[in-house]
Amino acid sequence: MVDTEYKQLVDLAAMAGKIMLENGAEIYRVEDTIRYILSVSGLETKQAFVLSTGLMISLGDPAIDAITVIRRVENRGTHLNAISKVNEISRDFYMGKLSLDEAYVQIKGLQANQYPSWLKDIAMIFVSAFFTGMFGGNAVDMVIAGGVGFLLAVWTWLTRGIRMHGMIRDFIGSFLVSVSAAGFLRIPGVAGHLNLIIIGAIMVMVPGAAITNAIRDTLHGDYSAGGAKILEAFVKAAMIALGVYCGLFMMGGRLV
Amino acid sequence: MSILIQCIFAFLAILAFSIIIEAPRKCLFVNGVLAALGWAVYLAVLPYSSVVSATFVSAFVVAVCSHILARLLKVPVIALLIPAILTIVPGAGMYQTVYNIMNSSVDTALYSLFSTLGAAGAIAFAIFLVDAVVAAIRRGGRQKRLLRYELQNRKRK
Repeated sequence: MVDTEYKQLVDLAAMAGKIMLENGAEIYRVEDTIRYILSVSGLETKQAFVLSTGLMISLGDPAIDAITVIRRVENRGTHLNAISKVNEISRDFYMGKLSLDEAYVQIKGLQANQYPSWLKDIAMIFVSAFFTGMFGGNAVDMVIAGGVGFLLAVWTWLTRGIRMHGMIRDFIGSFLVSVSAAGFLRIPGVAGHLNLIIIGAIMVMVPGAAITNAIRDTLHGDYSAGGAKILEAFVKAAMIALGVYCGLFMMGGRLV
Repeated sequence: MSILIQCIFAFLAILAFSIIIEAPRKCLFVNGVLAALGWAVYLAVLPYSSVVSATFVSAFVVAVCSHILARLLKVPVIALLIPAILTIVPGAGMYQTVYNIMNSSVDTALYSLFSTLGAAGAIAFAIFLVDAVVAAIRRGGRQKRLLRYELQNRKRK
């Protein structure tokens, strides 16, 4: 390898790490991936230091000047296919099935979206309906939860273009959930279980992925990232609960 | 009978949820099956024990299955674990806690807070246990693999 190739290698590792971190991979997996990619160079020092909000990479050897890059990660979500794709590319690169240029091009032009956004919005309706059924709701509960899920999907669709703070979006979303669920039950002749409908509908927003990741990070010894993620999950859950409470308070409903 | 219906709903709910979080296409069906399995285990254990131990057993079964299936499908473990574990994540408990705090009914708030923490801890411990065992098994395998690559590379040169 020549000097320019080392630069490209570090760039590749930084891009791969950034994509994984943005899409909700665990910290130790990001660090492992970066180290695997860097180890192809055969140089002495390969360091990766990853936090939940950014990453630092250094590649060095007595023979060359050390190369260090820092990347800041601002948006975080859950996108499992992106993680899986990057994992595959880095494994192929490490095993020599891909050349440096090929891997670089593949990571740079990574297209991981498999489902159109309207399908995801429709899926939201089914998630809230079926979760209500799973928790023991009857057919009426499920239909109402589907209606609530539809409103939630409309809300998500409306806010997709706007750069709105995630917490505020969840707060208003859960507010909509409880207001509409209580509203549907006000219709004469309709009787259902309010708590089952609300619990089913907020499952779309509940930070289940964040909690699972937070646990795995903490128990792997990445305490700073794990702690940050646990805090994130709790704040998110509190926002959702607050939204539900405000909605119920407005509708004069009671959680039974 | 009602357990079966609830498990079918768990399957469908997680199938739809996997689309929202963009699980790889080949995982969609498996995620649903794992979630249904987890929920079935939870419901089956619940009458004989508490919520916390039922959650623990369910999380343990799901974690073991995800580790095995992730190897078979060649995807990262979290692509299966995150959707499959979602059915038993105590989302309801978290918001019941805050609701009761806002309603200033401290007894119920404390009760739901501790059952939520207990369930979350049970999931954490189950995942950790399985992760630790898998890591111990893998360490041996990885060293053998590395040695093999080194030999191949030497031949190539």
